[in-house]
Amino acid sequence: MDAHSNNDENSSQRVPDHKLYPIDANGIELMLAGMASAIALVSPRKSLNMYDSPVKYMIVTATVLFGYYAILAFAGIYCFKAPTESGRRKIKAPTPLSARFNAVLFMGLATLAASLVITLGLVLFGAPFATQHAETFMAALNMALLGVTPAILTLKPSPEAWRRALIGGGNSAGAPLVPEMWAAGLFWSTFIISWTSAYFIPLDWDRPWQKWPIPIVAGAFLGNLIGLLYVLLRCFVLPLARADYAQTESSKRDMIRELSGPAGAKKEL
Amino acid sequence: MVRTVAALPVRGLWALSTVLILASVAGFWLFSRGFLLTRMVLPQHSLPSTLPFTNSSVDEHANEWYPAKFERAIILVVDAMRIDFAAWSDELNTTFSASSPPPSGHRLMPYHNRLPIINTLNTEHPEKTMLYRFRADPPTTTLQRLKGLTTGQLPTFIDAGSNFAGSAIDEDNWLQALRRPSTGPNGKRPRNLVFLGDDTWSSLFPHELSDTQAMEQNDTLWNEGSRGWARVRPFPSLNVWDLDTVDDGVFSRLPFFLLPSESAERDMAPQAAADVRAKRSRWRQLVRQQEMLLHPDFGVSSQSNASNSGMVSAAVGLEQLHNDWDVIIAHGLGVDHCGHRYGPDHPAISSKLAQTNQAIELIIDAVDRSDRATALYVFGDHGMDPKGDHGGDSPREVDAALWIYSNKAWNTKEGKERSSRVLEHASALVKNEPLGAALDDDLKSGWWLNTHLSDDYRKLLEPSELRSIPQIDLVSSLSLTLGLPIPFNNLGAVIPEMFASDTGAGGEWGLLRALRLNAAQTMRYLDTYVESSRSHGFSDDALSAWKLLYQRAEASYQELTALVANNPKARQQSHVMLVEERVAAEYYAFMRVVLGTLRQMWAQFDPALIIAGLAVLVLTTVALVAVYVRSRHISLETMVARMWKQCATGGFIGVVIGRALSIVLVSQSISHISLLEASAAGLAIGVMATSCTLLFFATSDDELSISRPGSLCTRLCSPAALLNTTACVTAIMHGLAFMSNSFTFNEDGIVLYLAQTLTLALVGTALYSLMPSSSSKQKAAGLRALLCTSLILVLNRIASYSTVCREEQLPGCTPTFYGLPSASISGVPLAVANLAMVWLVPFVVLRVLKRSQSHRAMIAKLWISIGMRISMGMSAVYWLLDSIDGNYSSSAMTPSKKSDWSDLRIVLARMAVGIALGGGLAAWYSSPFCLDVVVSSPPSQPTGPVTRSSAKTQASTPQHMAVVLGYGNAFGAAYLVFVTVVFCVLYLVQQPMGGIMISLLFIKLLLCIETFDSLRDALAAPSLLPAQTSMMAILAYLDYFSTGHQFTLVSIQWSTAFIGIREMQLVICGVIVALNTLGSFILASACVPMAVLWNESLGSRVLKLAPESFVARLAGAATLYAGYHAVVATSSAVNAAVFRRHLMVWKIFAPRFMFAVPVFLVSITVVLLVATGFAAMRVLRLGINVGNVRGLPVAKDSGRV
Repeated sequence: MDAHSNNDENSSQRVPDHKLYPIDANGIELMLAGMASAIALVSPRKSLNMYDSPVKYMIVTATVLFGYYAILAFAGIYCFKAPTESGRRKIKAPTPLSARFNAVLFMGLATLAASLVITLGLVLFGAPFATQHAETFMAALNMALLGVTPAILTLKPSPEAWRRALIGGGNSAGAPLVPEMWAAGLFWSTFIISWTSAYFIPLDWDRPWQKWPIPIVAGAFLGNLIGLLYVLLRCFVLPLARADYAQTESSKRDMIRELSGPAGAKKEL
Repeated sequence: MVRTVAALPVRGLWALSTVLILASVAGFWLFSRGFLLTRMVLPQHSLPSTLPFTNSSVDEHANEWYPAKFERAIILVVDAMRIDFAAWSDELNTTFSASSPPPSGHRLMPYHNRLPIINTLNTEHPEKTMLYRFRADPPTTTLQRLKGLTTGQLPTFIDAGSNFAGSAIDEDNWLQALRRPSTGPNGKRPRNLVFLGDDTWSSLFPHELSDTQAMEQNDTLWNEGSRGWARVRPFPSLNVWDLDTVDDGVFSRLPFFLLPSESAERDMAPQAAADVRAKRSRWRQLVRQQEMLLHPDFGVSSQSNASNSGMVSAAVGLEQLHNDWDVIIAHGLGVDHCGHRYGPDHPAISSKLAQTNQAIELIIDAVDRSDRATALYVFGDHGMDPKGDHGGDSPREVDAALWIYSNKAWNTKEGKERSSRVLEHASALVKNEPLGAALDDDLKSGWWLNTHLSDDYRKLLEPSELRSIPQIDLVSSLSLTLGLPIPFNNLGAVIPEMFASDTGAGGEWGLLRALRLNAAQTMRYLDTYVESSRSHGFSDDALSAWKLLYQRAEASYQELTALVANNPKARQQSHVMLVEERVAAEYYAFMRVVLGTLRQMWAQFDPALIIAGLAVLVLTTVALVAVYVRSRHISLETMVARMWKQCATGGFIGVVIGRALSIVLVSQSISHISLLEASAAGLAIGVMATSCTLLFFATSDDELSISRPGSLCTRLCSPAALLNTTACVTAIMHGLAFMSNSFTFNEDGIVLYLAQTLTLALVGTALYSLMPSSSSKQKAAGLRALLCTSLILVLNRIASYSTVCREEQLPGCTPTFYGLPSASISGVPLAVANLAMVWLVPFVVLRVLKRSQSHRAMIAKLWISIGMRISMGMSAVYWLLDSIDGNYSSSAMTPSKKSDWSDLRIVLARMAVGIALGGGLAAWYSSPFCLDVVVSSPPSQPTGPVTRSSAKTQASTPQHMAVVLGYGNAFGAAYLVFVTVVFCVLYLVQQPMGGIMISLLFIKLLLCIETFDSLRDALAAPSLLPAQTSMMAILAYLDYFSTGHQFTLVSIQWSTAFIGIREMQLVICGVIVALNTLGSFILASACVPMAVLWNESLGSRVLKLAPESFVARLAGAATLYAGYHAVVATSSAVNAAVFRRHLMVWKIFAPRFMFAVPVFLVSITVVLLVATGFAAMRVLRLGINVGNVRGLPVAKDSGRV
């Protein structure tokens, strides 16, 4: 809704969001998340599956996700470029290698910190704290990679941006920016669906996948997938459709006005 | 100085509270009347020497009930043997399996025709066998069924009079009769009993089924044969994945009794010995897990005989085991477990049934060899549904099978004909009986087709016509055929075929004798039941109808005796035989009418009462929330004044409709609701429905509030609304948890999860309030809230650490409440840790008070710093001594000696309470306010936020100021003193871990109050009451679990009943246990008014100008808090009703409901009457007077002197 009004109000001055932000690299993540979910759900009898060796499985998924983010952070293509007047990306001077390494390092450390916080959260929500440390930590690491790392990459170390994106309120800049929507969408959908999927843990179905922490990690993957679909729709497809719609509508209106002449104008009044 | 203001308006509060509490009591009462089936357990036993006849001639008292027809009996229970497992179909066997492949859908199921031995003997020896359809009374769980199959009673939830903790049967039953001395037919010896199989029996009959093997070693009584021995081998029944262990245990041990021992084998003729060896090896092959055979059983006593040659056969040897047993009970679980694990359509069941078939063959072989009259009863205690589970009342679950075999002909053709004539007469008699409407088809006529048998065969095959009998019919038949008295409480009729071929003493027909004994016993039971309590619940109609039926039958019997008195041969004449049959039919009809009416009363849920109770509960819940919503706008006085007339009218109309409806319902025999219950239901529904309607319609023209669901969309984005929504969602989710049995028994984890979610939402709100646009004051408040909520998060997790596990949770749960998993007494380290609370809690209370400088007041210094510490210290020392006694001294001492410190402990406990109530409560009652006036010079201003902490008053000279300390939080601090007193009492009655946990709960509640107060500051004072009350309620639930409780009867800490007293005093012990169990709820309820009173300044303008709206706010918070408990209680009641036929209803759902009742009632009573009505009103009344001290002007925020 905000994006819509943003479009309407600023259409004369500002180029629509979907033209400002390239979506190049982000499709890969969708594929990856889908693949990971597929591995988790489809291959119950393979050597690597979530409920026979959850820790091993989560190490693999975490490594894949981390590698993927590391490449994007190194290349500097995950986060969206700042909008420019012309609506095109400026050809900037190449970033020095050290800065790229720093970006990867920052991403890694921030993810690690996030996963520690999430571990604490999991324990507070009732995860065992005397046993199964590896499970809990790996679950937290996966959740951090799925839910928090996109925010780390898009929002940068700015507490203000984080607060604005994730909690909302007091947005001096008006409508939320695409990076903020992107981060918030992934963050909330990952964590809310992961939270919801704890539903399955206490049920007495005696299924192997009900073991701690499989449901919540599966929930995080699912949530990440849904979040991706949501943010893609919200940030790119919807504005695009709206823009098209507005354009065709206005051209239609013009045509009608031309055809009907003064009578049409009267009707509008 | 003090000028009295207009009295605080409290009448509306009291009126509303009374109505709400009474309505919820009515709701619970109605629901329980319909749901919790109750009957009394009578302690009387039937003795063999006393016949049940009341007025009869002397010669009838021939010292025996019925001459033993069978000397021995083997009872083989095949758990979950459904009737179609036992029934045979030739057609199915020939048509489909042999010639052509069966058309799809008509296939032979794995369980069809797998017990051929039954069919073979039925056709070969019809005079020795009979197969019955054996109808169970739901719930069809093994435990409940075994109760019915041994006592002959109907399953009710509360067998009033039985001990709650143990599951042992108190009622008279045939097992007790077997083991009672002086019950033997020829002598005074109890029968020798063998039990093998399901361990459910051992928990039901701990005394009857106690193995005597060990005792025999040291007692020569067994040698003389004057004591019956018992061999008991129970096997675990819980692991439904294990199909074989129980069966193998049974089949590996049965040969000891059924076959001659190996030593005897040597003395036999070679051919006979070879035969026995062949049988033995067949038994051995029956055992699936051959390692069971590696541990020879029952051999210990004979070996010791051999070694101790001096004591000649001091115990029962193997040979005696074989020769002397009287009754064998064997209970195999393979079929049932197979159903649970694979379902009845799985091939596994056919191999299990084949094994059973072989076992029956072998048993029959042994029975046939014996020259003593032996009966074999093979039956299922219940059936199974298409998925293989049981517990409910579906046709397939209640249709078990009963097959009776004996080596003596007992079921002659003539007897069969005569008994079927009796049944026909009886069903004609029952049809004319007005009470007959209550009977179902089973009882009306014994012949009823197996509808589901033909279902299985797609209605292509005609199933054989099987007689159906209620399961409890077995009890009287079994007792009489073994020469035992019929159990006192028995309601079943004898199985006619079993006695119809007999001729008793004086040529009397056996069935007539048996039925007469049976009816007389039931009449005696009914008379005793009516005499023993005035609230027996039988209607006068039923009582008189029973009496009439019985007297009519007795009169006919006397006529018959007169008829045959002079002519002994008359009994052989056919017309006399017809008269005999008619008399027997009259007794039989009496038995059936009694059973039918009692079944309706005791074993059937009453839908009308259940629905009425639920309606009242739902309406009360709605009304509680509605009162909160309305209390934000109008005072309680106005509310009551506007509503009471309509409510009275509504109640009157409700009573009229309720009574009219009840007459219709009772006449249609849908319900047995009494007029009193109908009136109560009508009144409660009428009043509550009217008030809910009025409250909500009246609200619609007021300004819409943000917390109500209807207006959520508009203001959803405000953080306060989000927080309140989260709280509502939490309450609803807590309620929804009872829709699943796993969530219900894992409620401790669910509550932690919900509490943490709500707290996390608070953390989010606190973070939100730190936004840059907010003022520095708001930021400080937000930071404070953030700190408090983080602490709550951690404390909640610590609280959830302490638990006593429920039985259902066990493999995945470690009990930590007593320190070590195996301990049942608190460890000393815990008791020492508990000592730390003595310092911590007063410290936190003072720290909280410090923010408003209230801690410097006299009462805070005296009571909280000193009195409270002393009281808590005594409690902590009490528990320290208790744990030292329990852990170190008891083992070294003789049990008779008192423990070292018992006197000291009693003194400590009494003084702890005495200081709390006599010191703290009295001090609070006389002057609750934490106020102090100091005169200070300007530079030495008290630190802390000026506006909150103190009201500075400038004296005439600018150098000196009179500062009223504690002015800003006068009401909150005064109320907090009251809560500390309540806390001290609750702290004493909690065990060490519970003491730690309830201290943490108190700290959490204080933090919660601080959090919400800070959030109100930070978010510019929106209403956060829904979130706050939900938070307090859910913290109470969390700490219910952490103080060592679960919602099961076994987890009640009965040992705490003796705190501070020496001897059992029912009322005091009850109160202490209630305080221990409901401590967390009482504490949280007591804290609720602080949600409104906290940081209410002495000079509060609202309080001065409109005290009634302030009272309304307090009442609103209280009702909202009670509303959370009401949601939980109502939901538990609804789900108990929905799952009334669930397997786990009496283990999980019904106990949860039964705990919800006291939790809700105590919470609402404490929060509305004690906390709000008494304590908060006391504080307010005094506060208004103090605040009106002349010279403390009302208009200004700070009072100037």
